[in-house]
Amino acid sequence: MVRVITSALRYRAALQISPLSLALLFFLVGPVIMIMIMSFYEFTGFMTVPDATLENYIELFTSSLTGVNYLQTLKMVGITWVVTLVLGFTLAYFLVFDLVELRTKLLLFLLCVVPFWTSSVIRMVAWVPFLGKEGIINKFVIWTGISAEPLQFLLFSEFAVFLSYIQIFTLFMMAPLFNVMARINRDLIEAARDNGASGIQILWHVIIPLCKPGIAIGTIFVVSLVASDFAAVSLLGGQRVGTVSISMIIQMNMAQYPPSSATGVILLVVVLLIVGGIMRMVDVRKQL
Amino acid sequence: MAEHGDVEIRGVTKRFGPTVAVEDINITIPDGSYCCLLGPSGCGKTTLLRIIAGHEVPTEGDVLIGGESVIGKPTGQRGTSMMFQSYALFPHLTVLDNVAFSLKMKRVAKGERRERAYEVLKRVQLDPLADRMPAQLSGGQQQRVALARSLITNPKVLLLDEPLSALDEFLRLQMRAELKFIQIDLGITFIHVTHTQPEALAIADMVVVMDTGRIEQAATGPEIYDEPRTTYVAEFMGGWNVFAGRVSGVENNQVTVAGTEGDNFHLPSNGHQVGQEVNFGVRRDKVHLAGGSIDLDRGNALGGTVHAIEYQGNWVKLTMTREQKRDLVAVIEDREYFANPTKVGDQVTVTWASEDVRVMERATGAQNLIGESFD
Repeated sequence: MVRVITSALRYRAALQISPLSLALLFFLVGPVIMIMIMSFYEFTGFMTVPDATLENYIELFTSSLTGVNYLQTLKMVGITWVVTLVLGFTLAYFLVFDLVELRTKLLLFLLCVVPFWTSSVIRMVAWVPFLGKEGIINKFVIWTGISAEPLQFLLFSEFAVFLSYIQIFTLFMMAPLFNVMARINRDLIEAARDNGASGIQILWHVIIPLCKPGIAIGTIFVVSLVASDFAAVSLLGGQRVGTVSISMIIQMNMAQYPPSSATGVILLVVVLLIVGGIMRMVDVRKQL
Repeated sequence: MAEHGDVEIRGVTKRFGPTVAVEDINITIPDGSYCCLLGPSGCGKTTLLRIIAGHEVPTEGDVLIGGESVIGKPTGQRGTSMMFQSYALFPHLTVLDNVAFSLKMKRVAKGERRERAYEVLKRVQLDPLADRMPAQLSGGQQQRVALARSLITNPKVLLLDEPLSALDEFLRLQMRAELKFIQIDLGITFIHVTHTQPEALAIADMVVVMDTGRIEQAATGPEIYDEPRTTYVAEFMGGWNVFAGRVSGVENNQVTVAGTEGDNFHLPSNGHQVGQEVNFGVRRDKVHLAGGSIDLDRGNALGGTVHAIEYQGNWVKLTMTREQKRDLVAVIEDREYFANPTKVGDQVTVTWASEDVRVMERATGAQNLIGESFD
């Protein structure tokens, strides 16, 4: 009897997860396998030929450009991560600990989500009239006499890319932090104070350790989003910023599918290694 | 001269917006005593505890510990330590690190703080579990960790917020005896918040009964139980039948009272005037079944129907209902009861001696009686 129930339950569970599993299989696993296969095809310079060659990978690992691109990507990831972490933590802390009323908390949290009603590409382009030569900031700068010339670094620069990353991705860091912070028992903070901890000590020894799963989830979001982004770089970077994903796009635009696929596979491996490292350090499941 | 663990509360009032949590509290808790703040939920007992701990700032008034005002002194520097109802153990730290937390905050070297934490853990018999995480412990074990974490700070005053409420009955009785033992052993002041009357009576040197932000009575357990100051204390503590009436006659040293429900009572004279309103009560265990019929007009004798008989081993609880009048409960010693047993539905008369009657003040608070009263 017990066995019958178990197998029936198992069947039902399998049925319940099947729509998502099938969707993931078709739209995630399938394409990844196709890219992997493609990465072993031969590219003759103007034609893609089915093959099983390591040529694309050898080329990738011997090219001096690969290192430069990865350094650039890591720099984008690193700086964006630090800034979104500091901003996201501060915002989440403010919402959870400084605001008393639940309604205000939720209202402000929803306000952070409102920009997501438009596409992220539109939010990136929206920086152009703001930062451009004739943009609001430069007009102000010239009007006040801070500078006689419009500031060039504002748009089509690394700065512009960072700005849009931070604007868009801070929420991805803030939301999981908000979630874990909201679950911290307030008695813990009072107990820490009772044990003689100062405000900084409470933050360092109680709140931050308890936020670790949130930091981990936010980090996974930010790292994978920044590493895979090419829209912000191509829209706001002004061809001055060369990341791994941009090199992949350039290759694809020139119909160099096999080398592009190899670049993609290696980037995927690098991101997965980072994510795996984070998961090893912090038990993310604890807070899910 | 104030001892170093004296807690003196002077005119403390705390308001949260328009609500008054505690109002003009004045009390001195002597050094080295076990004090229980007792009352139903919402009576202000936890607020008072948190004011002593420094987790709340009183709207008015002063708190002195060891003769020194602690208002404005940070929580960790008052010589108090608080044990939370939820235990509030740090879930990311081991048992040992939880206990050593306050030492770490004081930047005590790692070796020394581990050693000292281990010593305190031994005292609560948890040293074998030093490397466990709090989530791996039972409720009773978590509580011992919380106690150890408080004790390591060498407090002059230990504040306990409903420390036993989350434990099951067996552990609760065991732990309360242990708390009392530790308090005597350390000789420091314990202030223990509870809504359980037997708990307070069992361990406290001083019981403070509170209702709606005010102190109804502060005294030793026997005084609180045997000589309740107000009808609220009597009813909240349980174990009493409470009546009200008006003095109808004073003869020699006996007062006759016409009860509000039409019965006659006698009580010892204490300067009563004819026409004066009085509130009084008699302990349930001083009420006896009158064998045969008695003239009800003789006073301190009430008739009614037996509603429930509950055998409790060495005593029997008999509840008597009276038409349109308040129920009456008699607690009768087993031998006395079985010498003359009754059945549910029987008409009976109960009686008591006038010297067992206690006069009390009428309570003026909200008289919230929700608690785990004696039955």
